[in-house]
Order: sequence, then structure tokens, then C-alpha cells
Amino acid sequence: MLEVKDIDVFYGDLQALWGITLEVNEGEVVSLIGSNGAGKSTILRTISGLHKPSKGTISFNGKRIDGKSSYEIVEQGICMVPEGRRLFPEMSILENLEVGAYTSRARIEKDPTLAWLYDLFPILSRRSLQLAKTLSGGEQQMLAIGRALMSRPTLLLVDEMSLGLSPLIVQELSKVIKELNKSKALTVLLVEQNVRLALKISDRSYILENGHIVDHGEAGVLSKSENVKKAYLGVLPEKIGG
Amino acid sequence: MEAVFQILTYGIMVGSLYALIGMGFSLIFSVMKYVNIAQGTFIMLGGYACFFLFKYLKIDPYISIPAVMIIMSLIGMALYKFLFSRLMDLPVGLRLNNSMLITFGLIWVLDNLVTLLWTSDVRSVTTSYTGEVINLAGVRLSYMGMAGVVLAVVFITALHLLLTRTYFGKAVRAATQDAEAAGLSGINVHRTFLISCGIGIALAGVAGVVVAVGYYISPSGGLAWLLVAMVVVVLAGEQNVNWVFPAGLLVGLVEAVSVFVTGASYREVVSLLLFITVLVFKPEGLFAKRSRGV
Repeated sequence: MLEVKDIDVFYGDLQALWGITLEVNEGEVVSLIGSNGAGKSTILRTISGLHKPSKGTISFNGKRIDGKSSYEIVEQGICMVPEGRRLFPEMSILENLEVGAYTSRARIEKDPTLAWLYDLFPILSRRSLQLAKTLSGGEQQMLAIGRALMSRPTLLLVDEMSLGLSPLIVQELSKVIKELNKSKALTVLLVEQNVRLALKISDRSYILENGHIVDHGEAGVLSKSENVKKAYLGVLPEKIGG
Repeated sequence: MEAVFQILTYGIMVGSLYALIGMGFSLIFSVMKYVNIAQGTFIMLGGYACFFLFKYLKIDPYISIPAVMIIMSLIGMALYKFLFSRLMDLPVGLRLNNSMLITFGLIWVLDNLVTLLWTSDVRSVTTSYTGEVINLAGVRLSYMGMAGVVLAVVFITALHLLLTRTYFGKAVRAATQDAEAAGLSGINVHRTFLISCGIGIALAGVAGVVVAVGYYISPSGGLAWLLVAMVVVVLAGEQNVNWVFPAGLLVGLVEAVSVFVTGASYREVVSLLLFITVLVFKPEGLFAKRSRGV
């Protein structure tokens, strides 16, 4: 469904990604894991059209999308829940959601999507006229996910969903993501610093270090690998010190 | 008593024009963070458009408003396309500074171009009803002044409805609050800004018609109107399009009272004193507390 082939991305003179190749198949939940500054968010931002790769291609359902503007990529059916939520603070919940359905494709289905979303997150419906900036962190994240879903994406990109949220809310949101993936056949590519969580909810994972992909595979297999355990899960190898 | 009403109606008439002038300036400032120093010059251009349509095609100045708006919105969109859009990727502070420099230069170019094309003559549109008044229980109301109030109310209401009730307006507000997130929601931010800039300059065109009819137009006459726009927007507060109308009326009323008390020659001094006082004691704007972002 999504094919990223050998892309390089620069921030000015600084190279952030080196020859990244990855793919996401329809119906999968795929995660990108790695430490701070490894380039995970940069990959999502590049797919969304916020950065242009200087080399390589990105295609979605067989069509090239690298070099397109973000609004065109949303029209194609890819939508990102950005890091830090990035809501429109001075607009109400309802208005934030309406803006989410801006593309003509999504606008036709606005009302049913809205009803479905309010079912998914009842708290948004109860507070629909409240300004986005007055919501708690968890509610803001729900709204951010809701706003992205309003665009009727087939591929949802989620950037650091768990950042700054209580474990309880993170659990609830992950359940929702998993649920959407199953019931709505929504494909998900997520970036997560919480590696344990990422491996738990995804089918496959890519591991990034300093802008390179160093490993990838099924989440279940990766979570048993010694390297991953040592570097990301805080589990010491069994026979340490002989 | 009559004097009080006369001052009040004069204040409202002048204030409505000030609000209309502030509106276009505030829209471009709030939405894109561009300070368009040339706003007054665009008001003059709108006035010239109205003047020539009147002179050569005999079109009544008020009837010519749609045509003037179309011409000015095209100029506004060209302004965005060729000058402003290049600044789009800069951080807000730099965007403010550079837009000021660019439009300051633009004033010079346009002023000289207008002088070259149409000489530096001071002109105004004089219709059959210019200077006519109705006498309402001793209070004299000029037709022009009343038309100005109606125009300001109509256009400011229309802009308010456009920003709050339509999908396009929501896109403008979203792009104002977080341009990147707006793009990620499927909004074509550049197009949104292009149209907003067109609307902002079209509003300068409407103000230009009112100025050409009620005051006068000349190549360098824009600067005085720019000052008015800045006073109004500073009073209203940044990103506060909804409060531009009350702010304009306030400036108009203060001016009306000062004309009555000190005579017409000090009228600009008083509004500039108001401007400085607000900047010193409440720099975020008189009505800033109630701001809801555009």
C-alpha cells in the first residue's frame, strides 16, 4: 500500500535520513521505533509532505506522492496525527473536526463520519462547543485522532501518541487504534518512543538508529530479540557477567 | 443637545470608514502575519479605479464597488503570489519585518507609478448628490456619510459571516492558528492565503471608493489612511478581526469630540495620542482579552 524506497532527507545541510526503505501493507499496523532523534518523526513528516526527500521515492497505492503538498496527500487518503496534537486552539471541538473533513471527498461523508466519531469518543460529543485549548491532554489526543479520521484516511500515521499522557489513557487510545485497524480495516503506521507499547500493538516494526533502519521484522519476533531487549526494553541479557 | 448628536453622528460616520480601512489591514495582518504598509496606497488605487470608472464610463461610484473590488482583489492576489508567498516559510518575526520592508518599497513604486500615469493632481469623485444632507430634527446627516456607514456594516458583517459560517472561513482560521496542521488536515494553505489577501485588498478598494467620494485621492495620500488602519488595529488587538468595528467607531468618536473641542486641525494628533497611549499602557490592544483568534 505504502512504499518508501531509498529516501534521503535533509534539514538544511544536516542529513536526517539515509536510504530509508520501508513498506506498509493494507490492513497492517506497523511501528517505527528508535531513540530520540533517530528520525522516526521525520519519516512520517516526509510521507505527509512536510519534507521533500532529496533522493528516492514514496508511492501510495502505486502512485508517486513524494514532492506533493500535504493537502494533496490527505486527498489521497493518508492522514497524520501530528506530534504534540497540533489542534486549532481557538476553535471548538466541532470546528476542529469539521476542518478535518476539509477535502471534498471527506466533506460529502462529514455527517456520518461525525456521528461515528462521537460514538467512538463520547466525550467529544458532550463538549463539542468547547474550545480545543480547554481540553485535557488525553481529550486533546482523542480530538487529534478524531480530526485525522474525519478526512476518511485509508492509512493513518500516528506520531508519538503516548507522549505526556497517563498510562490509562494511552491504553485506551491504543485499544481504539487496534479496534479501528480490525473493524475498519484502517492501516496504521505509528511512531512511538514507548517501545513496549509499540511492539504490543503493531504487527511489524522497523528499528531506526541515527537515520538508518537497522532492523525490521514481526513485532513478536523483535520483542524477543536480545538487541531490542537490551537497547529498548530495559531488559538485561540473561547471562550477564557470565 | 443637537451638538451632541451632531458630534455622535459625525463620529459614527468617520468611525465606520476607519473600521472599514482597519478591516482589510487587520485581515492580512491576522491571517498571514504580514504588515501591509502599502494598505493606504491600495486604498488610493481603489479610489483611482472608482474615479476613472466614474469619469470615463459614467458609472456611479457606489455602483462601481463590485468592479473596483474585482480589480483590487486581482491586485491583492498578485501581491501575494509575487511578493508575500516568498516570505511564507520564514518564522513569524522575520515575516513581519520583511513584509514591512517590502510593502514600504512598494509604496514608493506605486506612488511614483501613479504620479507618472495620472499626474500628482488631487482628485475626488463629485456626483450630483455630493454634499447633500438631510436634516433630522436639527442634526445634519450627509448622504455620503450614511452610505459609508451602510457599506462598513454590510462588508464587516459579510466578512464576519464568511470567517465563522463557511468552510472557507474555517480554513482561514485554522491556517491562521497552525498552518502546518491545517495542511495536514487537507487545507491548501497557500490558496487560502491567496484568497484572504485578495479579500483584504478588495476591502481597501471599498474603502477607496468611500474616500474618493467623501475625501480626495492623490498619489501619496495613502499614508494618512495607513495611520488610521494602524491605530484601529492596535486598539482592536492583534488577531482580533471581530473587534475592528468597535475600535474604528471609538477612534471616530474620539476624533469627533476632539474636532468639537480643539478644532479640526488637531484631529489627527488626538487619534495618534490615543494610539500611543494604548501602546504604552495596553500594548496587546484594548479589546485583546476577548480575542478568539481572527
